[in-house]
Amino acid sequence: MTLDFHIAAAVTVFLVTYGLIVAEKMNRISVALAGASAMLLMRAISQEEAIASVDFNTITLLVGMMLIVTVTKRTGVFQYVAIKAAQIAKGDPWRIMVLFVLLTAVSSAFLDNVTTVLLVAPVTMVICDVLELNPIYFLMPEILASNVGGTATLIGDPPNIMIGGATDLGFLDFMENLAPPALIILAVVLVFCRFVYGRHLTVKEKAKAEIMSMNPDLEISDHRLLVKCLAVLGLVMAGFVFHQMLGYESATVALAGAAILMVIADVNPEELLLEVEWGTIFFFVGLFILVGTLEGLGVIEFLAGEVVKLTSGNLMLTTFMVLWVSAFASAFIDNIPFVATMIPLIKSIGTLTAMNVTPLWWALALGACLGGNGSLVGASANVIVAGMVSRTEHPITFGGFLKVGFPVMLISMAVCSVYLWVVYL
Amino acid sequence: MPERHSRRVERGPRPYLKAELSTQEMRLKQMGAKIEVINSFLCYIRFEVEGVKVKYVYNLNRKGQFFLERVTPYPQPAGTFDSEKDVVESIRNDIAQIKQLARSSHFKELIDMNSDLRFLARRLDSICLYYDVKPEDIATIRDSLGHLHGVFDAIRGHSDRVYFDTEPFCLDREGEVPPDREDD
Repeated sequence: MTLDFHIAAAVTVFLVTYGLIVAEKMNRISVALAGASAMLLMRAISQEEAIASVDFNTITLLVGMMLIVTVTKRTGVFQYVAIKAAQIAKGDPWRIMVLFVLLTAVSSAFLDNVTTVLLVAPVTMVICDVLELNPIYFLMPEILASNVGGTATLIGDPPNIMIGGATDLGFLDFMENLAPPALIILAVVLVFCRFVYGRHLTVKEKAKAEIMSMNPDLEISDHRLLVKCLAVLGLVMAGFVFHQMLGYESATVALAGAAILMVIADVNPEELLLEVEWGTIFFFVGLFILVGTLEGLGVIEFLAGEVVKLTSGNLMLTTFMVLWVSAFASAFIDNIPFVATMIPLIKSIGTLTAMNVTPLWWALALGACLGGNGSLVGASANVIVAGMVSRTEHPITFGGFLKVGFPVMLISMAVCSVYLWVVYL
Repeated sequence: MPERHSRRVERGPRPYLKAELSTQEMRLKQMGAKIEVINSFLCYIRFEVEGVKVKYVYNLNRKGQFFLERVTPYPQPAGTFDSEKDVVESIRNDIAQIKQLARSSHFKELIDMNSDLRFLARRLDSICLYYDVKPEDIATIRDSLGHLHGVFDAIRGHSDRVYFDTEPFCLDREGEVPPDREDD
């Protein structure tokens, strides 16, 4: 079989797989793995190349963090902090919203967004029950904050983990370059939500008193385990900060942290491993093989050449194009396959031109992560929260989300454009 | 049947379940509950015996105890077992007994009476929870239950035994409380 046949077949398989993932009519994990298998079966990629194309830094970082979070959330510390926050706010709904948004954003910067909303949303629903308020007034800002917070660090959102895995950019690089715009956008989110939901945030004094009567200590299920988890989390965070200096990959830090916690905490490793989202992991594996095939056949390099022609090799134009295209694409399609495709594309742009592609990485990270706020289907966290409230009397509809999320995304992109222009271009 | 029992909703993927569990846990903890979540398998087992649908629900977990309950033709907790083998054995015996009973003329009456007895238990619960029941009324209820126990003893005394593979575990009144109610 000729190379042309392999290219045509591989591009077809890739587009069909991508189409099926976007259409969401079939399970995305099955589709990605079927696509990867098709590439292997038609010998568009060898098994050795396929294995080499899987970014194990991304995979192990995800698994390590999932294990640490699984043990930590069993302690009830998150619920404790949330109740404490509501009490610090003295039951005032606006202050609670601000504190919950900050809690979500900070958590999301260090945990993945889905885990964060799975921790925050249930607490929010209980608090809203007590306050007799529509939980959407709180959940929407939290969803937006989870996507913004996740943008700020290497480990906050899968696109960043993937970019970090594919480049030499470390935890501090991400923090230094992405946390400033994320903080500005977080402030924008709060102001915007105050404007949209502020008039609804009134509660009776009795409800406030009920918040104050809640006992956060009841939420802590295991004090000894909590101490161990906090110690390991502290070590892992220090490891992330110093990983480049120490010459370790971020994945090594996460996996070592998970291993230490499994040894010192009295938890059954088999039960713990059940909680790892293996579906996400295998989705990544499938995507890496799909994109690795196109890369091996020179398709990505060809596309990179076309992008360079389109922008005439102009860094500013290329950066803005990557930012805005990533945002719009991520608002409506899964940002993981998008970023998986963009990573080799940006690498090829760097190879084809003398361009310093670092701003392109930040543009990709900002666009792909913040684009998730653009629509209900833009990020897994959005879909999860909408699914949680779908059976309640206050569902989050596609249109309802769009009215709030899309303007936030546009404002975010405007802020990012200015930021990238001022700092890098 | 109350709506909460009859309404079935699609809970969706595992993350939704986790979130729902987390919400419930928080509400219950604020009520003072201690909660332990155990990964387990919940098995629904279905048979058709002599045209009668027989269903069991069986919980298999790592804690070394297995809970079995017959769901239809009428609910009956079978108890706690120490091994899967005992669970299967219990189902085997129960099926054999149901098979035998299904052929008899009073099968339908048994189901109706069981239903009535469960309703009676719920009425006892309600009357004691919602009313200040006087000691003499409690004594009346106790006498009535004692009479019913007496009827069972009398039947046992004058009827022919038809099933011998296992021993009846709650026909003797010495223990008073059937084993399946001795939970921790």
